[in-house]
Amino acid sequence: MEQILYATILIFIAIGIAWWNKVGTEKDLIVGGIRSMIQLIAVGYVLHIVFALNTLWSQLLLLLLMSIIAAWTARGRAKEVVGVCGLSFVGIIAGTMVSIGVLLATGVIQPVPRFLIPLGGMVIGNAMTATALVLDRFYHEIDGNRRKVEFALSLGFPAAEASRDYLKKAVRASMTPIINTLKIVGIIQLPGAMTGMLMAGATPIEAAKYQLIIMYMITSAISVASVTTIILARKRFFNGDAGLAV
Amino acid sequence: MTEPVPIFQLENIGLVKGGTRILSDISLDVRKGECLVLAGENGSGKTSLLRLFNRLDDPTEGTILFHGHALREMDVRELRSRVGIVLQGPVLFDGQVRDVLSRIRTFLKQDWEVKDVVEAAGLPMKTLDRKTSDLSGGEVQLISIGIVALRNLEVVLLDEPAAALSITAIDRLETLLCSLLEKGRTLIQVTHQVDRMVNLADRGIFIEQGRVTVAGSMSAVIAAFGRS
Repeated sequence: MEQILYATILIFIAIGIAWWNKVGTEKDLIVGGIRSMIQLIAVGYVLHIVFALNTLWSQLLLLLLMSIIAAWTARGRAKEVVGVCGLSFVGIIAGTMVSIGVLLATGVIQPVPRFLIPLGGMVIGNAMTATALVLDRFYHEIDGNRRKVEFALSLGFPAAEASRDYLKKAVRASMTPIINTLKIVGIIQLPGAMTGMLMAGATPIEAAKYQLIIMYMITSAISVASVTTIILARKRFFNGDAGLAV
Repeated sequence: MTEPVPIFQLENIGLVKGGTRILSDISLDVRKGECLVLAGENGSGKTSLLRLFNRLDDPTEGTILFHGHALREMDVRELRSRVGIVLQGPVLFDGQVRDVLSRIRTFLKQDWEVKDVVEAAGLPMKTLDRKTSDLSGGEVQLISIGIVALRNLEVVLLDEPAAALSITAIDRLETLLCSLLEKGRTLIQVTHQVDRMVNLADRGIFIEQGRVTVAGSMSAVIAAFGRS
């Protein structure tokens, strides 16, 4: 607790700088600082219970709850698309099941809270961003190329073919951040999980090994989540193969 | 002798889009091999009506029959292999003209060659090597019309086909349309240039605020244009 109090000095420094320079972010920093403290302490207690229970069901229930909240959050990031919450939820679940499932099936991780919860949280967070990004980009691609899409449809192209190029662009947009991260990871800055493990006393080799597993897991989750979401969503953009529904 | 079943029959068609009424109570027969003109002022609903024949939109009221069968129940891709449309201010896919036409030809399983389209459009062969994004509006228009002219369609729908064309290109367009009619194709076209269509069109309708107010000879449609 003493450590948190000392760390609080840092947020007061940021508030002081904002106040001194009349940036206008003081209120947001105070709210953000308090919210993050409440949220993290609450999460800490919830995780404490899940770790103490140490049952697969309690872990899966927590992951499900996290997925629902993530899907709800994605709703606000792709406002124009109808049914974002449901689409995003299916994508997040698919991405999580595949990536975590492969790691569990191959024995890379065990179904215990210390693995399943933090890794699941990372996967769900990244999958949420990917599903929102892919939906938002696809909507804007279709909306910006309506005449080309209608030209293809009017010729008799099926909706899947008429929207193929735009779907590819949307998936590429959702994958670009993780691809860039894969290319520079460890060169510019140490990633969060590796930093955390080093601070907790793990050897650099052990930390690098887990970081690599995490990076690959997130890559697969983003890929599965964005493709699943957009294939399901595409149907909502069209009236069958007839015309655009958006 | 009994009258043949019209190629299209529109029965009390209405269209509401985004809460706005576009078309009201339109009933119309389109006969095989005729050239029908849809005329009207901007925003009168003629383009919206044209789109219904190709099912780019579906009416919210009434029924459209194609050869006596409900259009909605037809396979839309089967319909579009028989009813083609050139939309107003047409576009082509991105890429080199040759590749774009080749993609369309392959996908639609057509037996024409890409050069046939450029020839039908009356454009120079070097057009094939240009990018579609570098073509003028008129060139895209002519290529789009060239594509529908070569396809073995029953009905060709055209939305302001002469809009972006030069005088020479309009002559070329008229030759193309005449050849389509000679082949027995049915033409339905939206146009402002009703005067130019007098010789080509069999009849026309005049649309005002989504309703057909005049249906009959082109002279009647031209007179309605004069009054509006």
